[in-house]
Amino acid sequence: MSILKRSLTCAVCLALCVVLPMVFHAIPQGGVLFSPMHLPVLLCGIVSGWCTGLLCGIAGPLLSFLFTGMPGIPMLPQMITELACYGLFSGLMMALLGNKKGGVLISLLVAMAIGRVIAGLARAFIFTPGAMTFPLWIASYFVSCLPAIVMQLVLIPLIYAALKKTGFISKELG
Amino acid sequence: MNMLGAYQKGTSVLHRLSPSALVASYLLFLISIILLSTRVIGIGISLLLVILLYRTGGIKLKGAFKSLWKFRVFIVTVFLLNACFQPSGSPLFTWWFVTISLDGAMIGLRMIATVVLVTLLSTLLTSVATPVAITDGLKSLLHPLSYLHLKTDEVATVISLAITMIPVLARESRLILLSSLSRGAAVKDGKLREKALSFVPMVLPLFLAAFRKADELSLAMEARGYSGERNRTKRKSHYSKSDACAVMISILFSISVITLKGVF
Repeated sequence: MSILKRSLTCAVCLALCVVLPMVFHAIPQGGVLFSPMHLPVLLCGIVSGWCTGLLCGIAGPLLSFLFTGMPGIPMLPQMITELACYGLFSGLMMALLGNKKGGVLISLLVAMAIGRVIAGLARAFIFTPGAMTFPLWIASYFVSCLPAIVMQLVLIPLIYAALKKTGFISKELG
Repeated sequence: MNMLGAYQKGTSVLHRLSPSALVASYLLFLISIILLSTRVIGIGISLLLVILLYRTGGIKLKGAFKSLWKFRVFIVTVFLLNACFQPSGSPLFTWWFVTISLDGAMIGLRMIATVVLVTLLSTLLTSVATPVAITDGLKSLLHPLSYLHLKTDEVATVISLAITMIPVLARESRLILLSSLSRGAAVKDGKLREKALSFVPMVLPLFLAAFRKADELSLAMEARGYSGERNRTKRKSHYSKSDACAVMISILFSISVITLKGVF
């Protein structure tokens, strides 16, 4: 994928980081249940690599905050940490796995797991020291957002396959 | 860069500001507005600020509201969904699955007010500065990061492209959401899996449309010789007293908002 295409993929994913939460927030609790910003960041890392994925993870929540006021200031650093990890590790895993069968799903699962661990650690030691417990981490990163996890695991491989079919992602590179 | 309004030529103070001062002041005012929009009095102050800025820039507020009118269905839908379906301990009216509550209505109102005010401010920025000027402003604000060997030029280009695409994708998402709802699509109240899968027909077309746009844009940019490499033409910024004044006013305003947050 050319540098320009990578940049444009990142730009589109950044724009989706602002637009998707607006769509999901139309439904009460939609933002909490479906974590709409995770989708474009994970996809950006998978499609265009770790570098643009990381940029998308950092700039996405910031841009969304500047345009819609969401997420709120207390949540912003935590979300940036979590999403930056998603973008970074999904891209790194894709680079590692290449075009292997199930590569997208493995990259997704690894990125989601590492992102959640790092975000939990960051909350426990930096953002809300002392307030984070193991049951709270499980509840806030796995239980409350279970629909989001299911949706991401279903949607991202689907979108990836569709982009491959249309030729947006070259088949050799994966 | 056509956010909601296009660039309008003029000779006002805002038109004459350097790109970096303009973008810095915009960001500071934006953060202040978001912080203020949590209470009704804060929303009022933000609206006054926006009106004042429009007058300073010599831009007609009526035109900006006309652009916002395109999003009326979306705005009303967001308000109604929040007002009627927000879980609340003290509902005003309950019928079947509809629960109208004051809390829900206030959440909906605050959400709409923030989006409207932020959109108005962004429209003002794009009305007084050209897309190239905004990108230049972003580049100069990100410049300190280049000492960490970060490609700030590319980052600024990506962000300015993303800002350009937000209204296009917002329009697209509105159409997809409304067409899906008109075909009977709804967020199901069943199991988690069903609930999550009910979003697929709404989200999948949006992603595919967005990537199609990226593909078309990359072809168009490549055809015009853009390759995303460094050493592109750079414009020199000239700073004046009005730039310093604008930044100082916005800093002072932001500080007062943060200090008096409890009052508003």
